[in-house]
Amino acid sequence: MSFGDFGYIEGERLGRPYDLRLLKRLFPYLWPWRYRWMLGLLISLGLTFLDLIPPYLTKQAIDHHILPGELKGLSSLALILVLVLSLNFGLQYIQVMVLERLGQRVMHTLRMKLFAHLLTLPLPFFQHNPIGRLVTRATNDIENLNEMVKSLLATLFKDVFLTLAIFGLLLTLDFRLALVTFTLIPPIFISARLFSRQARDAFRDLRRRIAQLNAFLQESLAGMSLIQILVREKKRSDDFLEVNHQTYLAGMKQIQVFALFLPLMELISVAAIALLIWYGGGQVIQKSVSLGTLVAFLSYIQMFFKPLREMTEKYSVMQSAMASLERIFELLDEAAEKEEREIKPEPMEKWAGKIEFQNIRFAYDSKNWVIKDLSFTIHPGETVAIVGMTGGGKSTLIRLLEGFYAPQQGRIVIDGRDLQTIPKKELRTRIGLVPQETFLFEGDLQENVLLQPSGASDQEWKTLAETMHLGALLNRKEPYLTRSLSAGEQQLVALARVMARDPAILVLDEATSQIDAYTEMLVQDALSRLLSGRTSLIIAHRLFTLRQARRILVIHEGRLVEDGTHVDLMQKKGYYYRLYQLQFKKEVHLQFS
Amino acid sequence: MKSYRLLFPYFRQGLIPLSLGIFLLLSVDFLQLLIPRFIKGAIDDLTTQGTSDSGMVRYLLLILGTALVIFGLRLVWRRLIFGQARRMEAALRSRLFEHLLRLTPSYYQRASIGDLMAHATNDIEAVRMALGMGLVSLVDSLILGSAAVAFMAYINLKLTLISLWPIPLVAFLTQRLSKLLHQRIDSVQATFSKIMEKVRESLVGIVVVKSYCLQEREEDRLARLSLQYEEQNIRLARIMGTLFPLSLLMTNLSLAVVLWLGGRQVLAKEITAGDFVAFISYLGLLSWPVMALGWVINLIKRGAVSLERIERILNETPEISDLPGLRPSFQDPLSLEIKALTYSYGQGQKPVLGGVTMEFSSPKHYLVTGKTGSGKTTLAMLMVRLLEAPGGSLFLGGQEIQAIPLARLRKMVSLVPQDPFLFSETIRANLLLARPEALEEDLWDVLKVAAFEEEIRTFPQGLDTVVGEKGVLLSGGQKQRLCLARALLENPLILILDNTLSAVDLNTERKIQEALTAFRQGRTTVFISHRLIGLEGVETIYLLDEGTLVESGNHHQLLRQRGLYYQLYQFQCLEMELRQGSF
Repeated sequence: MSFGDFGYIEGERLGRPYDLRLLKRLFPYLWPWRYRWMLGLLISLGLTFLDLIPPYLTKQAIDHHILPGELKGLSSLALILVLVLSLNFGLQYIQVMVLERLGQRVMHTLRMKLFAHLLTLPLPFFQHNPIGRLVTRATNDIENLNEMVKSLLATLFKDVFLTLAIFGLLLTLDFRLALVTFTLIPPIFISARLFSRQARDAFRDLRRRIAQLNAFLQESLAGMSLIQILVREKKRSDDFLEVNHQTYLAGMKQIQVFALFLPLMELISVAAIALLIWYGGGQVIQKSVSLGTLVAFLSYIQMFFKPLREMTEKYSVMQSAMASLERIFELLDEAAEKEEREIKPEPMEKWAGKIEFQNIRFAYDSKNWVIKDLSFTIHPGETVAIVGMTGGGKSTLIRLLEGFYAPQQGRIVIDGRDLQTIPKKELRTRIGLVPQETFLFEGDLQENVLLQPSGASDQEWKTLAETMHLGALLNRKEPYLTRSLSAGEQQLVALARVMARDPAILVLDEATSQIDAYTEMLVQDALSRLLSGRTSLIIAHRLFTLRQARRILVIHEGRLVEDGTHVDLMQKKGYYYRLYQLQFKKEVHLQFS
Repeated sequence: MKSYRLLFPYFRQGLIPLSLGIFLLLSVDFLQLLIPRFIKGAIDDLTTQGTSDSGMVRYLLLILGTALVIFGLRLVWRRLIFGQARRMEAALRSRLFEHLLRLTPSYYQRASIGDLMAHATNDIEAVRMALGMGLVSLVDSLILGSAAVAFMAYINLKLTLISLWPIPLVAFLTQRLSKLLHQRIDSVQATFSKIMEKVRESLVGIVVVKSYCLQEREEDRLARLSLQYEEQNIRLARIMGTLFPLSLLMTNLSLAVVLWLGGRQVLAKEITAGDFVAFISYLGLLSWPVMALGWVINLIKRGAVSLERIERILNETPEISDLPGLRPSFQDPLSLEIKALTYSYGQGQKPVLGGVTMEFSSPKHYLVTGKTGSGKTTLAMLMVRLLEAPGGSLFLGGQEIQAIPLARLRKMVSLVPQDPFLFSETIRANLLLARPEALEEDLWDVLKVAAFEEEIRTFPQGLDTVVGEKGVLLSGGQKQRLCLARALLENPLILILDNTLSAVDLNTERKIQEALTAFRQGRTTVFISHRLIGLEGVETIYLLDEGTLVESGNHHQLLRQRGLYYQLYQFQCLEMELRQGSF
């Protein structure tokens, strides 16, 4: 069994790392905070300057006080030192706060942007991307950026600046010694380039594994009772061990890359010293370089390598963040669910609710036609039942009507407007859908029914709950109430949702399949009121839930095979008649015989 | 900090590589101190007359040689220590998952999946950071720090003691801050969990979000959490922003003390000027480890908080688990008996089931029916011990079910839950979950019984069709039939079908019923459904109302009783009659 990706193909191998391109894309998220960022940079320069003062004060103390034996003024020097230190402390605090806010702001903006984008992605996207992976992008990967945004901006620039300054200083001190030292710069660049590729691969792999881990977890936890019923804990745990082990290996790969890279950089910096001692020492012996210059060189070279070393350490943070950034932008590049055509924004009008399907052909994979040349018209206010065998394309019709998918051929026309010219928002506000699978949010009942802040008063809400037979649940105040509802109660909540709205078109997709006939009768009046005066489409496998329908469309293998009232269709003795015979005749006879 | 005991077993396992790693780390620290000595030697040589080039070559080789050794040692310890941290991370994560596999639905009703995901990734990463970087920095800073202090004490004890006076003060402040640090890290991690759950929830419910145009609502909710997270991080940064500079301030204050007091000591000839300079340079050496210590505290605290969070989950005792030494003996024929079963979901809550007595003796077909919320699903979950019934109320083959090992019980009694769950794998893989060793023809056999065979044969990839997360690529009826086929592959002695065919049309359902009866010959099948029509043929019907058993018997007996069953049945038939008339 191929198991590695749980049936999904993780986003294709990305192109070569384009650090600069990624940073360029990150730039718009940083730009609004440019002043804060500049403040951070200024403070870090100030701190660098302040760091230089204590050694100077020490030198003053030694040269002017301690060696000459002059005690006067020593106390004030110590006092100045304390002042400088306090200033340093204060600036550091501000620095941390400025940078933290910066990092958090950028993360928040990016997270919200990503989340908002995820919600606009078309439905088919979610069928091919495990939720756990998407969740990872919006949480773990965003989190992974924090460190980079913080340290990259404030300290990296400082380090670069410092390195360049020392570079120039060395050249002015002694040209030849400087050139000898610089012979080590090419190895640094070459190894950095070499490692950047490996590091990036390692981090990419790691990010991918973590997403996979989350996908596996999300699925296992959601299906936990099934795992337990089938006694597959062992198998699931073995599979997890495998995913976990892959994550471990990816982590080890990253350790190996850096276990070589970081010590190598250290080695090069010490090699620079050794080189100086050997070459510079020779020059001193030949008196072409003064000893003082050599000593100065030796101390500068260490200052030269210190920021370089810090940069390489930040390099790991950078590489990791880049791997995350790449994934995040990859998701942001996914095409959002878009309006099929350029639409002029028009004020929403009241809908009459006339629906026309005109020669619709549709296939999910553009090969196997689920809907084959389907045409019908539903008039305003009509209640129509759609009947047919399981898998006959009934639910697909609804997905087309909701604009989740576009038909390959034909058009859907509502009130004379082509569906593709109706903004999605308007479409979905005007169509009240009760989907096959009920989904409840965390939170109380009222929130779950009303969904959006609405003008409904508490009294109105209570009335609605009572009508929908949910009254008894109102008194249950336990936490996680929505999770302990029975399947039937959940469907009542889902029905109450459309009741709380005023859609022009009502679509019930198996909306009462879990509700027993008795309870259904209790909410019957409310349902009847809901249906009256609205165009309604009802899908149900059980024919008796279709009693409200004046007209029945029989769909078989993606085609409309019959259309008419119950009586018409029964007289016609066609498909519907046979279906009806099969389902009811026997029982009714049985009961009355 | 106590929470680190959770890791003791892993420390013990990794003792050798870990201690070797730390030893090598210490060696590197020591060797690093040699290089300045070589430099000093070279400079000293240069100042004396008559030094040759070959002397410099010697220093070149010495320094390069040491650097190479350091390079080699670093290569090894990084792998050893960081590798161990990674290993512990993996082990802890596996342990967490193993534990989660043992927790029951009653736990999952309280827990949120996003939160658990955060534990398994974000929190465990924090633990790894503490174990890797935290440990290395701790060792580094302790060694370098104490070496510096030792050198200082060697020069002058009195000056050392006086100059280091801020240490206790800083230690005290750190201690005070550390408690706050703990709380704030905890709230940051907790909010991270909530963010994870919110994102997850919105994506799981994407169909509802889209069809009710709830994008803005969901964004608002996440934004609220995200902003809260930001503020909590800022509050945490306030502590970090104090803790870091505070440690640095301490060493620098010591410098002020040394300037002021040390200067006097030089004049009083207690120490030499050279000592004074050396003292100051050692103080400079101290500043790095002290600063690193602040960072270490942060890392280790984060690890501790995360471990605590993980421990909270590990401390959840599985409500249902095997007692040790179970050796059940069963009576034949195997029957499942329920005796005066009362069950409620929590203390003080209204019982969902009250004094229910039923018997499912093999091999027969049963129907458990009742209105929405009458306790049917709860009963089904109790029968397979997904929920724990009070002792003495459920018996299998004369044996109390608590006395039967869980795995064995669930092999004999199985349930198809009403919410069809499929893994995002192929149809084949989903089926094989029930019986991994099943042959290809077994799969087709059960698919045939579930009336799904022909459809799958039309799928281009057949059994290897990937069904998508939770089976999103299949219709409701297809999912239910696949779940049924999976249960049939296992073919347990007692099979409970909880509203399993609700999304399947009656025509197909009838076909399935017929095939099922033949397939389940000699075994017990319990249908749970609120629909009566179509299930009249079962031998025994139990009718639940508000958690109590009100009627039982076969269809004709129950009709004759003219009770609730009669009403419900009448009602369902009447509905059809009415409808017929209304057309």
